[in-house]
Amino acid sequence: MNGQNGFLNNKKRVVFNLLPALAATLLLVGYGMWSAIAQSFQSVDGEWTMASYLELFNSLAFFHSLKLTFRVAILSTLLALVIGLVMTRMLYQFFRDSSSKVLVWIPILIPHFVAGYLVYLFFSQSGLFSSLFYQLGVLDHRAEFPVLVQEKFGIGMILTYVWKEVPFVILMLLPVYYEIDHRYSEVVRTLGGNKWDVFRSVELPWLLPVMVETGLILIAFIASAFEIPYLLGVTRPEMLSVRAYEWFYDGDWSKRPLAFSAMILPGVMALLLAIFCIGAVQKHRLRMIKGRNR
Amino acid sequence: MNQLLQCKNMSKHFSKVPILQNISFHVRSGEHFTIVGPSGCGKTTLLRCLAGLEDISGGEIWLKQKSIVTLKPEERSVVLMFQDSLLFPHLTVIENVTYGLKRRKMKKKERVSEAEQMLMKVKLLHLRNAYPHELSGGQKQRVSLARALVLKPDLLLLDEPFSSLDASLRESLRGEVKELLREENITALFITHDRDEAIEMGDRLAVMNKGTFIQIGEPFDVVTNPSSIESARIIGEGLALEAGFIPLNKVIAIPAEQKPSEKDYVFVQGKVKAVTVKNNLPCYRVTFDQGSILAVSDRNLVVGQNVLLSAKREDMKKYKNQEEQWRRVQ
Ligand SMILES: Nc1ncnc2c1ncn2[C@@H]1O[C@H](COP(=O)(O)OP(=O)(O)O)[C@@H](O)[C@H]1O
Ligand SMILES: [Mg+2]
Repeated sequence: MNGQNGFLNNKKRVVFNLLPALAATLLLVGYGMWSAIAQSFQSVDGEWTMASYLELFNSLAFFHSLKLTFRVAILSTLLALVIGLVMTRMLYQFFRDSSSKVLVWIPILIPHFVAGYLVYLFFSQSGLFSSLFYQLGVLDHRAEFPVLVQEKFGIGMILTYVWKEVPFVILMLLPVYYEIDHRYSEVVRTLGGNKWDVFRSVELPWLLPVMVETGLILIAFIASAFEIPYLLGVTRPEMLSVRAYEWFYDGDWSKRPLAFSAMILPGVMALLLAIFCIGAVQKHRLRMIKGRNR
Repeated sequence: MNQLLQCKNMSKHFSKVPILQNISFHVRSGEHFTIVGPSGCGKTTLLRCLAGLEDISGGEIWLKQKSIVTLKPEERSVVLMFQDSLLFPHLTVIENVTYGLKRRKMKKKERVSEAEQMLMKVKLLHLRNAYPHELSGGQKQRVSLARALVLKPDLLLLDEPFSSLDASLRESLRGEVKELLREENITALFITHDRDEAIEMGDRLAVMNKGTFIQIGEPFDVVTNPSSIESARIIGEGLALEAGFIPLNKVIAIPAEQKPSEKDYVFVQGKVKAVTVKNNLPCYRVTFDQGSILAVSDRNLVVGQNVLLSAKREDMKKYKNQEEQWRRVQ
């Protein structure tokens, strides 16, 4: 065994070599996390207290923000997953051997802030679409154009997130499509199943774990992102990240613990959701991997 | 006539390359028909065309007096069993077996009871709730068979279903499957590149070469009277020579020095490559310029020895070369 030559075996050596990088990352992230959690449990003067959490639970504004945040995050994610799935299927079928399919990934390169600005530019009441319809005579006044951005439901934000995240969903799902053993599709057909059965019994089981993971990433990202809600949201209710930002920079610092707890709570919720979902798909994933023919 | 399946002049091209050419044959109701041929000759393609997974380029396919050429695979009462078992990995054994019945909208209670009966017949009822990754290769292949048989298709197509199993398992499963197909009165078309399997499994046998059938007949007939040298090489048990076919039991290996008279005997030069035992007799693997056979001898031969494979001239069978005859029939 060559492990006896050195004082460490291979696995340990890898860890040892990675130690400086690991330590820096863990220390920085860990310290940041710790200090955020600590501050959420402290008063401005440094006393330990649950006060900020109690205040949150008694704050209607917080619950409205929480509701909006989850609505936007979940709706955007579901829409992005469904649209992304449909587009992945079409790309796989029609552009199987063409490299032009990479074009759909262009939106990934656009910064979120720019994407939000584009949506504002096109869909606001003074935006390009409303001008266009006005010029065409479809609308008598520009104000007749439906309020799509900066309204209470968050349509503008959802719109932005969907068109920004669909390419990400495709990026995640397309490799899975190539990995699927398409002889199973023929098994379904010969056993009397139609194309819908092929999707349900062959494609979906392979896609499911990746879709769950992609969904979790998107929900966690959207629930904590700041720039799009800041650009496209309304003053009340605002998304949690905007709420926290305002508390953080509130004049006398007395609201800082609130800002931290307002971000930690949804973080914990996302973490629990992730543990639950990944645990649920893990068994399924193992069956799929071990049970396929070669 | 009782002809369940009829194929007439079927052909198939892949981007202008002909893979199947002018295939004509019929399968009777309840019959087990086997197709044997070297790998790459188009056997799988033929089955895929019958199952509807490939469109044919020409010809006709009739099932129960109805043309099925334009039907989708799910509309044909034909089930194809693949080389690999291809069980759905996320479904249990029983869910796999009921899969097809569910597509037919059969009630849950009924389909489970049908599936359980079929699992009993393949002796796997105790594994009904197992997942495919918990089964052995032979068990998977049996579940796959149950999944096909439970649908009671008019025609079952089997594409080398045992080729991924080890030899002893293959032999035992062969008999079991044959019996089960008979019991269920299933008409089956069975593909293999294994001679023994082809002879054992079929009521009738077709020899395929380069995308076309070169001989069809009862297994014993085909094996003992190959109609051409190609057929003899693929299925014949004996020495396939240009001039004719010599059944193996008439062939004897003799030391090269003891050449008998050319008037009464034919011989081929060869070399002993290995010594083995068959039917409790010493046997010699002799290679000659067109292949190798297992021959017996009345002497003790050693590895590396030059020998003559010899037989009486009167034992050589001329090839019937049925091809012209066939053309007249069709
Ligand atoms: N989809 C396809 N496209 C092009 N050529 C194919 C395709 N499928 C099979 N072939 C060719 O058809 C020939 C016969 O293949 P196959 O039917 O699988 O042979 P077998 O099952 O007898 O081994 C092979 O030469 C193979 O390369
Ligand atoms: Mg094949």
